[in-house]
Amino acid sequence: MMKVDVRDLTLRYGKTTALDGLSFSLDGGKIYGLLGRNGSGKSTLLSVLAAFRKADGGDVLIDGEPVFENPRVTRQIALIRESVDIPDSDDKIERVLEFVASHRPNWDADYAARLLDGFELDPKKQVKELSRGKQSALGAILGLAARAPLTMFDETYLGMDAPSRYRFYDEILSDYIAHPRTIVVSTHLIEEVAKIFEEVVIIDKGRLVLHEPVETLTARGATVTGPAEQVEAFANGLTVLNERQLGRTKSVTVYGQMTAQQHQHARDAGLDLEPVPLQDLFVYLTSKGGAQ
Amino acid sequence: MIARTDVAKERRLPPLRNWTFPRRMVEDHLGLAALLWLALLVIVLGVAVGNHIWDSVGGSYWDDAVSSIPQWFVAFMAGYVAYSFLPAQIAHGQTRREFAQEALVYLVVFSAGLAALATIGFGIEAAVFAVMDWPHGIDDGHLFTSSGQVHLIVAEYLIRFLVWSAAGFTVGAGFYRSEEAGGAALAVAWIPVAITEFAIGTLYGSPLVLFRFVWDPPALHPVLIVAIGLLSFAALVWGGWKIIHDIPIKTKSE
Repeated sequence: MMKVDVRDLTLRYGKTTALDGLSFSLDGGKIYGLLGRNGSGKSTLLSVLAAFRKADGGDVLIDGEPVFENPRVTRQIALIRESVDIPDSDDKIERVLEFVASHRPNWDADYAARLLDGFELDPKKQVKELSRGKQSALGAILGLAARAPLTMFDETYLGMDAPSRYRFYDEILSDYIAHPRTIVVSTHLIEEVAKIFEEVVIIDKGRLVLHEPVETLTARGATVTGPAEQVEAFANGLTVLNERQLGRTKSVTVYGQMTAQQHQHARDAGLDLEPVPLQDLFVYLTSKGGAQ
Repeated sequence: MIARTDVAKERRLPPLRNWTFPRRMVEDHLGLAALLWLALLVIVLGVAVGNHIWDSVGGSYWDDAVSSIPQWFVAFMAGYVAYSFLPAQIAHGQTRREFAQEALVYLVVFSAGLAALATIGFGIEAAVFAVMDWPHGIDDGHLFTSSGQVHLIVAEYLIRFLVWSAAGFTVGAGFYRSEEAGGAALAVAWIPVAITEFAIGTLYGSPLVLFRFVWDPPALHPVLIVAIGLLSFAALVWGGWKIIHDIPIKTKSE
C-alpha cells in the first residue's frame, strides 16, 4: 500500500497559485475521493503526485521517497487523465495496450482484454476513431489493468454514458477488493461515485478544506424528513444546506454534529434522520464562507 | 521536511529500472526510412535511366538525393519522438532521465541505420553504373571522393544524421515545452548544424548554404570534421536534456 505525504505543497502557473501550501497524508490501501470545484487544484495536485510536474515548493513523498524523477516510485504510480496519454492517436488500441504493458510492471493483459470486452472496445480500432466516451473508457482500462500500487483517476469518466460510468465504478471497487492498493478518484459526479470512497479529501483554491473518512463526514449533518412544521421547528437555529418540500412533507439537510438529545427529539417528533448527502456537504464546504 | 523512511523504501519499492532499448521508435522509424530509401533509390535509378535515354549520365544522382533530403526527415522524426513519446512515456511511469537515455540510443541507432542506408545506396548505384558502363563520380563537398570509400561515406552521413536528429529532438522538445522554448531552440539549434555542414563542406542541403557564396572554408582533415560533428551532437544533446530535465507533462488543453 503506498502512503502519500504532502507537505506545504506549492505550485504556480505564472501569477496564478494553483496549490497553496497544501498538506495532508494518505495512509494508503483505501479508495480516496478527491473533491474540489473547477480550478480548485485537483488536477494540478494529481499531476505533482504522479511527477508529471515539479512542485515550486514543499514535499511529496510516496512511501517515504520523493517522487519527482525517482523511477523506483514513478513506475508504481498510474495517473489516468481525461486525455489518454499515448504516443500517437493513429495507433490501434491493441498497440496502445502493448505500449502501456511495456512500461507497467504489474500489467494484467488478461484483465485488460476482459475490460475491452466489458467496455465494448474493438482492439483493432484506432484511438482517433473512438468517441470521447470510448477514449475515456480506454483510459479507465489502462489505469485498472496497470494495477499500479498508487492509481489515480482524474475525471476519467468524462464523456462516458451512465452504464459505462457505473461499470467503471464497479470495476474500481471489485478490482480493488481483489488487488488492494491505493486508489484516488478525482470527480465532480460526487453522488454517483461516493459509495466507493472510504475517505474524502476536499480542496479549494489550492488549500485543504478537509480530509476525513466518509462516515465521519456524512455524520457532520443530517437530512431530516417529516411534516413541514415539525421539520422547520427541528431545523430552527441549525445551518440549513438544502431544503425540499412536497405537499406537507418537507426534507431539510442541516449541517452540524447531531447530539443524542437531538436524535431523540427527532424520533419523538416522528422525523426521519438520514446521513447528509456528500454532495450537499461538498457544496456547502466549498461555497463562499462555507469552509469557515 | 518529512523524515525519509528508508526501511519502507527497502521493503516495498523495487530496484531502480534501467532504460530499455527503444524498440518501438527504432523499428517504426527505421522501417519507414527503409521504405522511403527504396522509393528514393528507384527514383534515382529511374532518373539515371531517363538521362541515359534522353541525355547522358554523369556523376552520382544518389549523391544529390541523399545529401539534400534525408537530414530533414531525420530531424522531423527525432522532433516527433520528443513531442509525442516523451509525454506518453513519462505519463506511464518513466522518468525524464530514463526517457533521455532511450532517446539518445534512438538518435544514435536511427542515425547509424540511415547512414548505412545512404552508404548502401551509393554501393548499389555504383554497381548499376558499372554494369551499364556509366561514369560514377562524386561531387565536391564530401569527406569522400568515390563510392569505394565506405568508411568515409559512413562517417559523413553518421555525423550529419546525428547532428540533424539531435537538432530535431531539441526543437521538438522545445515546442512541447512551450512555443517560446521551441522558438528559442530553433534559433539556437541551427548553429551546430551549420558548423557541422560547413566542416563537412556541404554544398547544398545546409541551412547556411547561401553563405558559401560569401565564405568557403578550407578543407579540414576527416578526423577533425568527425570531432566537430561529435561536439555539435553533444552540444545539441545537452541542450535537449536541459529542455526536458524538468519538463511538465501537459494536458490536451494546455
